[in-house]
Amino acid sequence: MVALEEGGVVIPKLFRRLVEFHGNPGRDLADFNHWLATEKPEQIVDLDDNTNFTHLDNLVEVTGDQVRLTRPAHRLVIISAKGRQGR
Amino acid sequence: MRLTSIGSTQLRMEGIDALEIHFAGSHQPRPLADQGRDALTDRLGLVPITYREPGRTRVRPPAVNDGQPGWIASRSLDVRGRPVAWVFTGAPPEPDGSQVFVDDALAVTSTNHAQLVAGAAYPLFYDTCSPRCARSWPTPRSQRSSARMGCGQATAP
Repeated sequence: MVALEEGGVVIPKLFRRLVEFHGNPGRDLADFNHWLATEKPEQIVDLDDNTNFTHLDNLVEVTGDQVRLTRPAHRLVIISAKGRQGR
Repeated sequence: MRLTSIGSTQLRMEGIDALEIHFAGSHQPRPLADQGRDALTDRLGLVPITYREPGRTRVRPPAVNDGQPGWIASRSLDVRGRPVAWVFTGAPPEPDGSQVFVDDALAVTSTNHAQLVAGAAYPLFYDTCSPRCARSWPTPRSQRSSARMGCGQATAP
């Protein structure tokens, strides 16, 4: 968390998910994608490949202690739950 | 939509997402996050603003330039009851409650767009924003903005 607060800059949406994930300090970052898929499922349209919905966990890459969004944020459209924006 | 005791409400600005000054007991790197907030309040004509210590997340009254003219266009609420809004400075072009279509020409005059172009926020599109709008958002500028904010250098704890 110190790295996220002081040096690591990620898109705010990914930051919020990481904070929520680490709300349980016993969690291993290697489980982040599985947690996203099961606890924070969100449909996403990739504007460059919008034939199918995808989900945030399909667009996040975890390598060791590094987390990366694999698609540019401005090419994604998040489908909000019940037509209302989440965060 | 809920109003506070002083008749105000928080907005969720359409199409953009700024670094978190505070979220669930954490925050994103400061002063970068503060710079995004300060760019917004400056653009809205609200400076100078003093913030309470410690944390500098709450305004310490008086906000001498509060009440600057501006208007929003909104058609939905987010899960927290905040209007999902396009934000504009100056006098509204139509009476309150009028129907306004936010086309590309109007969108690029919004504070939302200005924040993105200035590198003070990231793009973030929900389906409340039309696909045409999301596709027409200024890609090269947003890429520069993201680079300025350090996007892609994600380091997790």
